[in-house]
Amino acid sequence: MGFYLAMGIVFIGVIALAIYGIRYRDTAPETREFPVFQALSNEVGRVAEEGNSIHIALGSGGLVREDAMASIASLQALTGLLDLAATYDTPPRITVADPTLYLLAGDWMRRSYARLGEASLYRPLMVQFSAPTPVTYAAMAATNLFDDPIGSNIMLGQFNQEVSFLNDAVLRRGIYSVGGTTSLSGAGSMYPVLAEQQFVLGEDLFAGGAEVISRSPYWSSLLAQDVLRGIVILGIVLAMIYSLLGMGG
Amino acid sequence: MFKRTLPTITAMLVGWLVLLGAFFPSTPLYQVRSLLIQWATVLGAFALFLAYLNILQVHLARMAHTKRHWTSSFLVTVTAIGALIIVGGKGPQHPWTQLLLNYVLVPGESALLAMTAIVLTLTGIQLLRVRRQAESAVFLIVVILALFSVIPYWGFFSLVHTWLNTLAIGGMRGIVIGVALGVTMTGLRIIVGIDRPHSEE
Repeated sequence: MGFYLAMGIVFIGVIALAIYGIRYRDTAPETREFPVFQALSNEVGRVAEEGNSIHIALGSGGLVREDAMASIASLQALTGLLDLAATYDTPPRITVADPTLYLLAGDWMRRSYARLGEASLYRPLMVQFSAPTPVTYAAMAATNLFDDPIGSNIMLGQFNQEVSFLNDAVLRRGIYSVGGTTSLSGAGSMYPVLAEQQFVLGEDLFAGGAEVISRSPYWSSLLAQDVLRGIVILGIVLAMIYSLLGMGG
Repeated sequence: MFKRTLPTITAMLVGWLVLLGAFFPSTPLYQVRSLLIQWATVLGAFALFLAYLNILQVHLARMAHTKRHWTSSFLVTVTAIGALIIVGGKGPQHPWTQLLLNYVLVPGESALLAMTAIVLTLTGIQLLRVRRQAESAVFLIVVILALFSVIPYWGFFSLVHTWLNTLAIGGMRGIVIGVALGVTMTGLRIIVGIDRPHSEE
């Protein structure tokens, strides 16, 4: 049963992706708004005016585990910010807790410079591998927030309850912060310190690409995701009715 | 060619092989999938070595350029080099390595993890100062009820615990299903070749 369900979701996903990809090849569809992603790029100018820098925490997600897609989605959501930071050569400090993500994040930052034709301006220390375990990573990143002139803190990726250390530093120092994660314990820890427009939870983290990069593959993926969600909700309701009628065994 | 086409074809091919290997476990595709995952793990180990060098670079640079963080960076650098010498020279099962693990790493991490509960509760209290809304009060009440409900022999709180759990599990399942769909669509974008996070756009 699970096998057919997974196959069905993948099959419907591919079909919906193709249909929406053709339908919205050139024009953007009407979708939900995500103020978190819209505001990210503005942080570059604001923080530069203050003479501070941006700290980007990508969390403990890697590329060879189940949280790989959350890490990739987080980097895609940051594309606009990184491009703008490269334009003004005010690079953010990016910290990670996974070696594979460290390599990809470095390459992402380098590509932002390369798109401007200034690849030589990229410095490898812009991305820092802080520690290999989530708790130690969060403690190190929180220390950076306390000690360094950071004007904005962006936490996107895989976080669990250890993100409380970062939140504590943010509250004590009064740093503007935005965050998003797919993990439930991470979301529970971020919720107290982030306002509604500063926080993305769960599947909305994957909408960053559509909001920031604004290209057909991302729009169609977001719409296909909504179609799949509708089907899942319908399935749950039908299963509930089926069960209420005593046919579920 | 090497910047765009080859990485895209490789990513698509590997992505489909791993996906089909998961769907059809009784076919040779499953062995191919296992092999590819092993390769990924080996690449991960190389990445760890580069990340280790990054830690040294960061802290040596800090020691060279700033006086303020000199002590902490010096400690990190010495510990990192010392751990590499011990683990690399003696092996992971040697008593010295086990000593490092059991008496430094594990207690340190446990202490930090225990602190997260305190920090989270304090942050929850601060929430009421920052956001004076009904939902903030609900959050704090739920935290307090959840903390009390784990005390044994308090019948009423046990009932509250069950009730809270039912609500929480419902919400959690909704979020988890949404995340799974987001992961599926992001993965599909990559394996059909319309999204290339690994290569130059």
